[in-house]
This record gives sequence, structure tokens and C-alpha cells, in this order.
Amino acid sequence: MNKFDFSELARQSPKGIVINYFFLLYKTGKFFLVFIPLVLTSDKGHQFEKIAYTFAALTVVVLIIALLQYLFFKYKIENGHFILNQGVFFKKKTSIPFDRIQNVNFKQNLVHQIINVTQVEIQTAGAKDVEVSIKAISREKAEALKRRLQEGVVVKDEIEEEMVTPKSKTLFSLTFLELLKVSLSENHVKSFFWIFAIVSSMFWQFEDLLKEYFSLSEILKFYQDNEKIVRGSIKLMFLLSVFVILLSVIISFVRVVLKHFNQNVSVMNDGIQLSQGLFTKRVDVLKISKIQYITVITNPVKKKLGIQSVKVNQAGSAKTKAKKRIEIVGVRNSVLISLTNLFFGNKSDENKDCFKPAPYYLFKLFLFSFYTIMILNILMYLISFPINIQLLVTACLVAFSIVINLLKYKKAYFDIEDKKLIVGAGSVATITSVMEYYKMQNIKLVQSFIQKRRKVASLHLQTASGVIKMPNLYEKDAHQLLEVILKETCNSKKDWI
Amino acid sequence: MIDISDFKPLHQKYFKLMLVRRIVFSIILVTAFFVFYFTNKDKVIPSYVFVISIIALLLFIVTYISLTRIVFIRKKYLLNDTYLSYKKGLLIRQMIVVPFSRIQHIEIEEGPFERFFKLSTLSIYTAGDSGKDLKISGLKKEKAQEIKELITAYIKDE
Repeated sequence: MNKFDFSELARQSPKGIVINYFFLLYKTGKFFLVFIPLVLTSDKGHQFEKIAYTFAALTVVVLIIALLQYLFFKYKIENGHFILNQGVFFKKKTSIPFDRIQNVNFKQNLVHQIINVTQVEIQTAGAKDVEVSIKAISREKAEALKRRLQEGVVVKDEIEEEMVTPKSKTLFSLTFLELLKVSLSENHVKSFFWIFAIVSSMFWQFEDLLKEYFSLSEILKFYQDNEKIVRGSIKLMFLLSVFVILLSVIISFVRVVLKHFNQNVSVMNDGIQLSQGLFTKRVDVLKISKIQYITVITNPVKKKLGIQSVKVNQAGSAKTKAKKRIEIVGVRNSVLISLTNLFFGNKSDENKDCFKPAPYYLFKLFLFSFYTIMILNILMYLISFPINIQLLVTACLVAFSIVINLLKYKKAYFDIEDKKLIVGAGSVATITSVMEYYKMQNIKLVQSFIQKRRKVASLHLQTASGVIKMPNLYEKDAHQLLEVILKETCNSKKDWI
Repeated sequence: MIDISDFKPLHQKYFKLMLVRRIVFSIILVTAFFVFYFTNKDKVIPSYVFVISIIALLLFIVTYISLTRIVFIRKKYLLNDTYLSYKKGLLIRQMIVVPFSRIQHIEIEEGPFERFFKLSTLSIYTAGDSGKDLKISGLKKEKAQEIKELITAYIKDE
């Protein structure tokens, strides 16, 4: 282990030049790929020579940059920090304390394998991408570096492993009948848009094909004729919409069954274990300490059936983010209570502060609907839609948006209760997010010049698993909320993960 | 708790730096415009279009450069015992607050212009998924180093 000393600033293996070179070449190559069709279509005679020269010059420049990058890339370890200096023109100094390092990964692509070096990637929690990567050092040195970096981390890992071997007891599992209920009460509009997206993307691809054989004006004419046919038969439209609705329900059903078949939630000593899925069975372990916030989703149908979905947002690095947002469906009211008790502890009746968004929020919602409907109307006018259908559509949209916006405003609220922030949202559905607010990463107060004049402001609460937005609060409420949350976060000795 | 009067302005040199940056950008813009105008031989551009676009361009540049002062003034930071805060924005004002206990790591960067003015940029990362959470440009090199050391010490103590 003492073979490698990291206390002095050191460069990576000289082979790093090769890695840098290929990486840069790949990047510039990708960039110039755009111009290839341009070059091919132009006069081919003496162009070829030019291209060859440009390419040669480019490779030389890239080689020089790779060399410079290598020369300016130095790293060392100094009192518990990993320190990295890099940058030729823009100098960049990075230092990462050991205890913030989550993972040290090795990576080898083809070039790495050929010249026998390893890329070391150091990840810290939640950051956008891999934080720091050393492009090329020998395997031995990489192992030594990993050992040094994880001196602080290893201990934690062992404890975690002990905790994972648990005696678990089932909290609830979903029968097939309940699964059926869940899928019927899903949001079918989502499935509808899914169909819509697939059909339209197919349509565009088909259009591309067509373009090769017909001129654009011919296609336009073809569409216009077709439009007339479609417009003519209302019956067909009706049948089509019934078919689409049916298809939406079926798709929702398939989606739910594939994902949540045999869903089983069991309680362990420091979290819950969730297993579900038909073909790809997934087992997720949710650690209570890693939970950043939960979201409870329900809608009128679900309310009647007495079930709701719970989305649990866990902390994790950006790459694994999708996996860290876990959905539990068909949660009965009694189960929800025991879940929240498990996650946040028993509810105590402490004082509760309630906030509502300012009426400006409602005004803004209506303004947005107004613009959308206006633009739609202009578009319909431009493609010379029949006027009676246009009026009908507009009337429907106006009524719909009034109902939706009023519901949206009614369901938006922000409560501070027992060190928890509860954010209500949704229109037809009711969405409630619960968060222990000391777990926030940073908080942002945003105020446009119009909001400033109306004395309202928005708060964005950044967590390790997404943003919670509180739009258009009264200015003084926003400041009060910010201070309450900030004070608790700064004073809290508890860790967020 | 957050007192508006406690916010400190950025270093005066940063105003000059912003001005230089904006002027350089404007020069590039004008050059690009003329290059485009004089190399475009396919279509003859009518002279009134040229005059109007020149006036529009000049108006844009004048407002862009004259707004430098107010943009600079709006940028302020606040260093406390437990958190760091930064304010900015002309049309949309933003105030971001990062508690020390949530900071993952800190970087100090220097661009070529900044190096000339002996200024640096302090970037603060937390575990939030928005990448760089807080970026304060226009700090004196020593000041940036001081803040970095202060926060690093706080994180270590924890």
C-alpha cells in the first residue's frame, strides 16, 4: 500500500495522452459529422483535397490539446481531501473531502483496455454527473487510490450491509383484483398522450419517406383533400375517439400490471422493501434516512375506492435518479397512515401554519389559459377550420380551463406542521407532498418584476431528489417560510441522508 | 434572519470586468453583422433593411452596455455563520440560500479576463440535482479563498 504516495502533485500515466487524444478526436469528430452531408453534396473534385488537409490540421491541433491537457492535469491527496488541478486556459481547482465521496468506480473502454490503463471516477452524492475522473492510471495505482479515498467510507458500507440482512414483516400486498381497481382508476389521459406521441412520431417518419418521392406542395394538397374526407364523416371521428379511449384504458391496464404485478411491501428495521413486476421483477430497498420526500396522489375515482398512490423520492446520484423514485400503488388509507408514521414518526399535535398562494396565482393561471386558447384559435383560423366547430371547441376549452384553474387554485396550499412541509397541488387529481424540510439542499426565492409589483414571490426548495415549487406566495409569507425552513436546516444536527 | 442591509456588493473591479466582457461581446456582434452583410452576395439586401437593422443593433448594444451598472449593483452576497446567500437579477430577481451543512464541495475558477483583474469565481455544489447551486463571480482572489476555507473548516467540524 505504501508503494504509491499521493501526497505530491502528480500527473496521470503518460498513456493518458492517448486517452485524451482519442476522447477529443471522438468529440470533434461528432461535431464535424454535421458537416459531412454538406461536403458530400458540394462539388467533389478538388474539395476532397481540402477536406484531407483540414482533417490533418485538425488531428495535429487535437494532439497538441491532448498533450497540454495531460501536462496541466495534476492530482494529490492532502489532509483528508482529494485535490485536482486541471485546465489549460481555464484553471480549475477541485478539492473533495473524503467523507463526501460516495463511490469510486473504475471504467475501461476499448482504448483503455488496449493500452492497459484504468479510468477512475469519483462520485459524490447527488451531483449532476461523475464529479471527477482521472482518465488514465495503472490498475495497481487505481486500486491503491481507491483504498486511500475510501478509508473513511468503508466503515459505513459494512454497517449498511449488516442492516440489510433483516427480519422483515409484510405490511401489505396487492391482490390481482386490487391491481385491476388501480389500473381502472389511473389517469387515462396519460395513456392517451402516449398513443398520440407514438402515432404522431410514426406519422412524421412516414412523411419523411414521402418527401423523397413527392414535392411539398403535392403533399400539402394531399393532406388538404384528406382533411376534407375526415371532416366529412363525424361518425368516423366518434368511432375513432371511442376506440382511442378504450385503447387508453387497455394501455393503462397493461402498464400497471407490468410494473406493479404482485406488489408487496414489507417493513424492515430501517426501512421498507418493495417487490413488484411481472416480467422484470424488481426489489427496491427504501432506507428511511435516504427518503427526501413523499408524494401522495389520488383522484375522485381512487377516493371512492379508498386507494392512493405513494411516490417515494430517495436521494441518489443523477444517473440513478429514475430508479430512486419509487411508486407504490393501491395504498389503502390505513396503510398510508402506517407508512407515514414509519417514514416521519408519529404525528404530534403541534402548532400548524397554513399558507395559500396569492390570488395573483389564479390570475396567472387564467392568463396562461387565455393565451393558449388564443394561439389555438389563430392556428385553427390559419388552417381554415370550419367556423362552427372552432366555436364549439373554444367554448369547451374555456369551460374546461375555468374548472381546472379554479380546482388548481383551491387545491394549492402550503402547510408547516411539526417540522414538516406539506405542499398541496393538483387539479382533478389531488397531489400532496410531505417533506421534512430540514433535508433541503438549498432554497431559492424568485420574483419577477411583475410579481414584485404585486408583492408576491415564489419559493423553490431544492432537495437531493428534485425541486418542490411553491408558486406565487404573498411576499411576507414567502420570507416567513424561507426563514422557518432555513433556521431549522441550519440548526438541525440531523443529516439529510 | 436574512437582513437585506447585510448583503455585500461584489468587488468594484468586477464592474470593469463586466463592462469589458459586454464590450467585447458587442464588438463580436457588430463584426459578425458586417461580415454577414458583405459576404452575402446571393441576394441584394435593400438599404432600408440595412439601416433599420443597424439602428436596432446599436439600440440593443447601448441598452446592453448601459444596463451593466444596475446588473452589477443587483449582484450581492451574504456570508453568515451558518449559510451563504446570493442575490441577482434584473427582471427576475433571485435570492438563493445555501446552508453550510449541505455543501458538498467548493471550487474556485479563474477565466482569462478574471485573472487579469485578479478576481475569481466561487462555485458551490450541494447534493441538489441542479448541478452548480451557487456561483459567485467577481470576488477578490483572497476573499474567495477565505470563504472557501471558512466553509471547509465548518464542514470538517461537523
